[in-house]
Amino acid sequence: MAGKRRHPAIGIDLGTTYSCIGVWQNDRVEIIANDQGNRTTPSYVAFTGSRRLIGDAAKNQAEMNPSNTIFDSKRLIGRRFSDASVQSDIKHWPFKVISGPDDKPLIVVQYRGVEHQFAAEEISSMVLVKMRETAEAYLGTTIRDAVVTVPACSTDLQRQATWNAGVLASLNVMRIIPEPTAAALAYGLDRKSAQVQGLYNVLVFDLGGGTFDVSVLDKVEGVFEVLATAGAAHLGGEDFDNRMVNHFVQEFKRKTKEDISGNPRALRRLRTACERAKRTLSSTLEATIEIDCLYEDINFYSTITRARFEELNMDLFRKCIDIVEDCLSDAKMDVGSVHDVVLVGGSSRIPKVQQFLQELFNGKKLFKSINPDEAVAYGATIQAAIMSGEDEIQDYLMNDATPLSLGLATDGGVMTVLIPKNATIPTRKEVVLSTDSDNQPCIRIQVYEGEGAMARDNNLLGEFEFSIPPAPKGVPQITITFHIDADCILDVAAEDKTTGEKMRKTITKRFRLKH
Amino acid sequence: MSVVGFDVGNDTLVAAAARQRGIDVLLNAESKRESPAAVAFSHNARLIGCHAASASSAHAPFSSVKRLLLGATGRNPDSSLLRDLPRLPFSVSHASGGGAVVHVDHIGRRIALSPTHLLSMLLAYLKQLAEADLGGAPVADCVISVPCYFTQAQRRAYLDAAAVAGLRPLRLMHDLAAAALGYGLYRSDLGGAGGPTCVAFVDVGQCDTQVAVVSFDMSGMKVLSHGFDADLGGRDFDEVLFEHFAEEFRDRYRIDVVRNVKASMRLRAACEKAKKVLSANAEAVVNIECLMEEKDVRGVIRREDFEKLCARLLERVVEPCKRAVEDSGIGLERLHSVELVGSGSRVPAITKVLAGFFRREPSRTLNASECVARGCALQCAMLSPTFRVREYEVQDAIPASIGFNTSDGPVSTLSSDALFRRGLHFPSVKIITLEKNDSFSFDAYYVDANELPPGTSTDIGSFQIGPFQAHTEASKVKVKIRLNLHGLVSVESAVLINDYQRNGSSTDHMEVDSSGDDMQGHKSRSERSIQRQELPITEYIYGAMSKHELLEAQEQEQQLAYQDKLVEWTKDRKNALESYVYDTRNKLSERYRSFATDSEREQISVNLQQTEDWLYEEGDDETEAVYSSKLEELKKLVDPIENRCKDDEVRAEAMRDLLKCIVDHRNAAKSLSTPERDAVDNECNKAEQWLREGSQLQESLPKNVDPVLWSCEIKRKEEELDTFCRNITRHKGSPARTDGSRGSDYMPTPDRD
Repeated sequence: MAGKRRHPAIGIDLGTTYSCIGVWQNDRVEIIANDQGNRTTPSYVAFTGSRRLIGDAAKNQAEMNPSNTIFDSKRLIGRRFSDASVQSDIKHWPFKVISGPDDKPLIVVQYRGVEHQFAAEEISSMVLVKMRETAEAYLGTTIRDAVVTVPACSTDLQRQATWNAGVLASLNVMRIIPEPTAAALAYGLDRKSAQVQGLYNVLVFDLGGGTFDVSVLDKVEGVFEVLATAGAAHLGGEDFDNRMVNHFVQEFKRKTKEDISGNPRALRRLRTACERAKRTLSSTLEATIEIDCLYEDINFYSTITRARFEELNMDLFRKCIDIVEDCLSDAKMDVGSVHDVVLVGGSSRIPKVQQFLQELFNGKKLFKSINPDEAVAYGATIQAAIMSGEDEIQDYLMNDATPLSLGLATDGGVMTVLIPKNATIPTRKEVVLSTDSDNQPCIRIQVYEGEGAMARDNNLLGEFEFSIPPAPKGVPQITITFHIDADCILDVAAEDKTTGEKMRKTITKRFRLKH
Repeated sequence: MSVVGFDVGNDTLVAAAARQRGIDVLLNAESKRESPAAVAFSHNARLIGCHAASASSAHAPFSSVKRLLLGATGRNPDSSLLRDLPRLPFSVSHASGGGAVVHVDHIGRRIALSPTHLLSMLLAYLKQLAEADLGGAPVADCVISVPCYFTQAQRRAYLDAAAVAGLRPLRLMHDLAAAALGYGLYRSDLGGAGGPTCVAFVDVGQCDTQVAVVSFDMSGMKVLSHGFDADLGGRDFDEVLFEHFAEEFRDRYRIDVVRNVKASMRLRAACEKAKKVLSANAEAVVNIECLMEEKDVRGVIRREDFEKLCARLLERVVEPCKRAVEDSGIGLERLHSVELVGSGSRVPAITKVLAGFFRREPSRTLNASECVARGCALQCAMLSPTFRVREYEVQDAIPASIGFNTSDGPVSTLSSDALFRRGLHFPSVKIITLEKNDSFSFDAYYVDANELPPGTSTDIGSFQIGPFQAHTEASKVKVKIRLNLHGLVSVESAVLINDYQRNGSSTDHMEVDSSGDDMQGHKSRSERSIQRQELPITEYIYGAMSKHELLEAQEQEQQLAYQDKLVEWTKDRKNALESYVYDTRNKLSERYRSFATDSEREQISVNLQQTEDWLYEEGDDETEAVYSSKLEELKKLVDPIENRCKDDEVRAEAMRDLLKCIVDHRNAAKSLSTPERDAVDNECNKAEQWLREGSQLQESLPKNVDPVLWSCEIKRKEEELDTFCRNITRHKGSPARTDGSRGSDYMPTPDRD
């Protein structure tokens, strides 16, 4: 077998709640356990009076240090403080988030007795440092090159911020790929020998603890493309736990006449037991709940059957299937066109969820052999191996979709889309602009990202001014070209074809942070 | 054949399989790679592995099976097991033949289970897990890991347990030999011009610590020495915390946790968790609600305080390392690295103390919890004809010297009383020649009790050679003794050699010949006459199961497995019934709503509610037949409605098919002569009228009554029409008509699953 590489490349699944890392070793993917023996590491960073903690250590003390323990930084990365989703999330976080320059959210903590403010990508970079150190300890060598994953619906700003986090963690981020593409790639190698000729479509179903994402990919001549994505930002295993908690609160009330729905301690203990029972019900038909002194001196012993658990959550399971159908519709595809279905995320283990998916896809076998918590890191590692020149899998390449439309602000501030949502990357598009007043000295090029009809409703990515010689309005012919390369870098160029004068300026999305 | 490796730890089980792209650690039903090494019994079900962990605490799972084996298979069962008993949440008693047994109440009777049988259940669980992961292919061939200090009796117990579980181990492999194999096979930079690369492996497990010094070069690996402490592992560090907090809670909360089994279990679990937190954090909190007497308890411990409490344990960690390094004959400076593995190895203070002894930081380039199972799977691949693995020699060393006694005293070599000396590479064969005239007993024993866990019996077993009758005074018996791949010693053969040439010497002496060549010996003279005779050998191995006991255990296992399947099937039927209740209730308010009359819906709803209430009261624990019959009763009520609904869906298609058939035949008839065309037209007209009248009548009826026009009748009418028209066409020799596709045929039946 091939010897170990001197500087192997790694794949990192930077998750909302947990992160995971893999390395290509001995001609295969190895998912690496951290110093606590866990293959997934909590995406937590904590600050205490004397030290900073990352991963398991941070999560272990979260209850005792809630205002200085940061998690969910992935929900902040590349977003604005005033975003509706950020405002909604802030209500649930025990740590403080404020608005920084340019509406950037900043996390406020007390560290060594002094207040500090961190950007989300700085927190994410600390998690990435932990992952890099885990890999280095396992491999016994320095790690630099990495492929990092992001959600399929990430904006370019979010990808840029993730890339910045990697740079801060002393990583050379070779590529940022969407999670469903990584998941498909994880299983793609298994099907290498049975590669389908022509069009090959994959649906990736990712039901985690807190989020639900569906993506449709296709693969033509070995190249994966993301055709469409759909999902729900707050739908997952925690919701199933809540249904069970409510069920037992009612049962406890029926049996004891006591209402514990307003008792945080009892609810916390009940939720812990329900979470464990839910996991048990994926492989057995009954689970037991035993909590001593659940409320005052009353013990609570009960059982729940799989049938009951399924009934409690049936509407949520159906909602997942509805979202799958929406995603297929966005991709202009019917279920018969999907060749394979890949399951990712811990909650995809729920038998009824799998049954519904199989029924929807007419009994098709679901891909679930890889641990669902590790599949994304597994695929990212394969991508890293490809980019490091591992011959075995050189024939796999991937492209991913632009999840939001890109365009320019034109007459009266209207958003003119050049690159529509879910267009294939890499891509190039042109549009010809002119002036709207006589002797206009320049044209302002403003690049926006989003789906709003008016530019101001979308994200401004960047702008510049292109000088032109004086001319009557409508006469200049300025060609604006958008080019997105394989690494999601957007170049915007302007050229005056009327006078033949070429003045080229490029906005690159990869601007470094200043630290 | 299967190519799997099994690691049976005291606390966890791990299975690994060799595949085309390498070794994979297999996932259990909960997608975890480690399963609890536990067996639990409820009143009617047996739960193993990950299912045992979620069993009700009223049925504490049997765990620490490896520790029970230590007590069960020794001649002095009290010595090591006695210290463990207070920690176990279940009671252990002594079997009539010696050794430990546990008792369970199962299916209304009390069953005695030996540790070997418990072990067979764990192995059967791993076998099942491997089979599920490998697509249902049967798993029998495997390599199973054992601690290096396991005696002959314990190794035989493993093989017996494997036999009961339906497994055929190709090798019992020492834990650290397996880890070293996984380390060395993939590294191409080991060994070189400077000689072999030497690595020390330290495995701090849940209940033991093992150390091996291994030398590697390009052609293979060689274990130079083993060291161990059979009573030092992660659980001992947990116990330190347990004792600390039990005392603190006694002083502060006036509760005596030690006397309460359930409270002790919960506190031990919390202490294990706290130890893990202290591996990552400087401080850990133990918070247990309602531990005893409705009291919530809370305690805090800092890492430095924990390390002080563990000072004595930390000193002991170094002892097996010293022994292994000394025995290896290699100085510390020649070690290339120290690899630290095992679930108990994550306490930072252990790393520190090892760094102090070895004068370097231990490495963690192996997955601490999985490397043993992976190494076993690799070894299985090497022993298997299925896989072609790179040429790589695995030489392991025996950890304790084995000697043999006859009535004349020890069979000795010139240098020691040990026939198989500690550090000897195995498998190995020895041939000894004895001057014997009659049957004799050949006793195997461990030469040095210090090479075994404390209190372990040095007796291994006895091999009765004979009976036989010597015909000359110069008769010799040549005995071949094999130490096999499992580390088990046995007398492979005994041959009587009658030499009819009288020798002048009549002294009794023994001759030891290490070579494997049976034919080596004196030159034969024409006047000598030598006769060889195979002698019978009878084995008496302490701790091994007799054939009768093995059959008995296999029968018991089959009965328990049958009961497991019965319980599984019963729960499945119960779940099916409950699902049917919920599913039907949903359909009655949605899809079936318009197909049921109000009174039907009411009646069904009442029955569904009654069934649901029954399931959660007296129906909680019934037989499979009861659940099945309840389901049948409900279906009798619901099936008419389901039939109406499904027929409604199929009928439209059947009607379209019949109309198409009519049109097709009319068109085809245009080429016929008038009488035939008229006959076809008449038949088509009749069918069309029948359909029109039937559909009009059907449409005038509400959906909640049985249809007057069943889709099967429409299908039958289409077939009749088609047959009639084809007969006319065929009779006249007209061109064949193409058949349109037929729609699905729905036939209502009284009973349906």
